[in-house]
Amino acid sequence: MSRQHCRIHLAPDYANLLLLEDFIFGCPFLDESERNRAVLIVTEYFDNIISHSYSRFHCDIAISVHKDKQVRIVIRYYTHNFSEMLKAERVTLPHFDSKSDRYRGLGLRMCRNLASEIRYRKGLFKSFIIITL
Amino acid sequence: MENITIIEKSGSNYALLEVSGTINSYTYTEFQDKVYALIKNTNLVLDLSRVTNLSSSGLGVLMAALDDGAESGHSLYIMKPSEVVRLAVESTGFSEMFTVIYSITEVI
Repeated sequence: MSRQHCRIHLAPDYANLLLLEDFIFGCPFLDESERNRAVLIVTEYFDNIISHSYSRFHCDIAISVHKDKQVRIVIRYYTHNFSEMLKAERVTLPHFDSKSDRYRGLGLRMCRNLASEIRYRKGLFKSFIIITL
Repeated sequence: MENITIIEKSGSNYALLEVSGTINSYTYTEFQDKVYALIKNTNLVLDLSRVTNLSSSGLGVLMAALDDGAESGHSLYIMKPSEVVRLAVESTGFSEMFTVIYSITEVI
């Protein structure tokens, strides 16, 4: 199979979750199972980045989807607190949050169970989340 | 682009919400308000067959609704979950908490 890929850049805004879903559903080389897992994982990370990452710059979040033998998704963005995301990934457990009146701490757990591998990489300026389905 | 549409119906011992579209951080509050209001008063059936994405915020609402239902003596049913809903629920590891049905007659 030849390598196929799609890419999108989106401003960190919750309203763009809908555009992001459309982007994933529009990747023509993903089968239904891959699309469903990809949309759950990518929107979860996009949401987390908007909610928890901090940057002095207002830069877009870049998402690319590649398919060769496996599907690989790369999320690239600028942040000054990437280490906090890594810590949260390790320690956050599901809990009831009275402020939002719902359970929280489910998202990264979902992502871990839906992907076969998730890697995090901090570059000099950009941070990367690399997901293999 | 698909947002969220919620149609409310009722039966003798239940309320039914037919949900279409996506339940994410941008759209979940309307869903949350309706679910919490209804589960306090009656059994609640959520038809999620036309849901295209279910984020952790939506799942967090479903889990809190289970608690509210237990407190008020009502049950929460997920009816005909779409594949993405089924995947989302299973990926939390809490799927056994939810009652999944495939017909409204299972509530009556």
